[in-house]
Amino acid sequence: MTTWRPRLQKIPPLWWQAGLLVLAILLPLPLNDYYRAVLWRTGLYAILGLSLNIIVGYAGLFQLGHAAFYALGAYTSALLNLHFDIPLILTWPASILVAALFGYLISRPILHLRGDYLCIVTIAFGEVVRLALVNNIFGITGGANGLSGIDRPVLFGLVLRSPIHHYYLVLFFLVLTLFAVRRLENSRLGRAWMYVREDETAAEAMGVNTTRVKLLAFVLGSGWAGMAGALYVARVPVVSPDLARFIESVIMFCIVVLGGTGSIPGVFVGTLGMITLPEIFRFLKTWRDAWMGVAMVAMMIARPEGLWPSRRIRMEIREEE
Amino acid sequence: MALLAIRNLTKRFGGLTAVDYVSFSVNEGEILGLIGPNGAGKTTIFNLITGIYTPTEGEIYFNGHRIAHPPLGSRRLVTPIWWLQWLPVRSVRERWNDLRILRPHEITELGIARTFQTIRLFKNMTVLENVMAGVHHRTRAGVWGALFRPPAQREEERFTVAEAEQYIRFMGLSEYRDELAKNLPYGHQRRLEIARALAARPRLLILDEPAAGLNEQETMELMDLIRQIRDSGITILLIEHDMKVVMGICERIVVLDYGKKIAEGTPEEVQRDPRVIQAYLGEEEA
Repeated sequence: MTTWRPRLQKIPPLWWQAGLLVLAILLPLPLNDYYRAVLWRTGLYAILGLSLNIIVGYAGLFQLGHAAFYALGAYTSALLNLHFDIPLILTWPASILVAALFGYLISRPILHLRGDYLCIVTIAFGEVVRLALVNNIFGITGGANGLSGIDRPVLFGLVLRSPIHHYYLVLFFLVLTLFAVRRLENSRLGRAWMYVREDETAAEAMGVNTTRVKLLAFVLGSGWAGMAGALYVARVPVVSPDLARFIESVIMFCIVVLGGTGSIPGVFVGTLGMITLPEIFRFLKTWRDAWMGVAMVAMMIARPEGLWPSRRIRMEIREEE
Repeated sequence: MALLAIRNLTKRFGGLTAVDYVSFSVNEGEILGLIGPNGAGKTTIFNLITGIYTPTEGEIYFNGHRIAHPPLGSRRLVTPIWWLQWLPVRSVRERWNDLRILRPHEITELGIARTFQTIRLFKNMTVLENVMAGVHHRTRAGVWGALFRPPAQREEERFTVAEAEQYIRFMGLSEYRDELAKNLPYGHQRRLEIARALAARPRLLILDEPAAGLNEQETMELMDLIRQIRDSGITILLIEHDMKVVMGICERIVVLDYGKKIAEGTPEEVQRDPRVIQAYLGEEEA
């Protein structure tokens, strides 16, 4: 244990990053379509987890309505394609913008709320979005049945149909996301998020515009969830209000918390625990959910900081004991 | 010339009047001490100056700007400029800027930095990262800069680190540069708070009980440092209970008791003032 760790740390990060990427590229090749679809789902939720991690992990804001932005991105992509015949790929920027705009509008008036109060408002917003979609708002969302008949995305003349295409598409966006969040983390903005999370009053007194910084976390996180929604539509040409269900938000929140809030590897561990394993153990049926609950309770007692926490958050949580 | 002018400042919390029509000013380049028994309203005044609270009555001027005044409250409905605040017209903007309540970070940008009575460092961040917080408002990089790291942004990051290191050195914390703030000895944590405030390049530095919890040796060093900071051109306003510090470095002293100003003057004048003696020793004489 103690001898191999320093040796591993001597390997330059670029090497193991490249190694992981090659592994991710080769992984689906020997698998059948079902497991390729599971991998696709894992990648999609990792993107969602990383986007939520900006809000919950970096800025320390509770957000339990993240699925609403995911759904908004999916519906934007679907509606633009259905009504205006815009190729799916060209609708993606619009998905990001619409989700980010809603992120801005919803968070602007509530950012002065702290902790659990903020959490309640975000839950309510998630439900508002879901019910608006169910009630066929403006007569365009197709009510409880949702929308169907959406085109397949076409990339350089290649129609993306099979699970492996979509896996590579999601993988591309996942790598992009990783690149972006790592850069955000180690920047002036990333530090400002950490100042706000550690001590908001002190951050404000040092000249950090806390409202602006928190708003940016919300807008970036929501916008990127919209992108994930568009990626969902790219593979599943049917969207329904189920995308914005509360349980979806809870799953995303758990992905962030289970692996360790604020930690990038933690998001992957969380996705593995919340998405991949339940999918693989599908044959256990409802026992799966029961075990899930037991595992969560056990984890909160034994390891409240998450399975692969960031160095800082572990200290923040253990301190309060 | 008065750098900071406080006029009839009043703060009520429900029925409790924490600060009661207090007026005084801080002159450019001096060290002014604010003293008084516990609960006299000293920290409340600091919170009013730095924008954490808004006053119930009265105003505070800093370097010609009005930085604190009572909020409009329900009067905003009959205030035309409140309705027009969104207009991108220069005269409207100017009048609204005069009327609106400044946020704490805007006051810091104007040139006031502070430390806290109970140390409020970013505990799980390194000394360097803590001091970099002070440089935050002097740099500009946003999302674009973070994602694409253009040369200007890299230059700015180098500037931030260099600035922070300069203040770490000044406060004698160089050897702790990469240590977590919470692992520092208590006295060093106090110094780190001052370093962080200095990194914001203030014109007025507000210190809330900087010597609390320090030993004799550390207190002497701190007094030296405060003098050095003043000599570098920064005006200092401080709250302190340690009379040796107050009498030793302050040029003028304002004494508060039950939210009211009861005396103002040089340390000698204040020490002779019968009302001050009564406020501090009254219980023993009774």
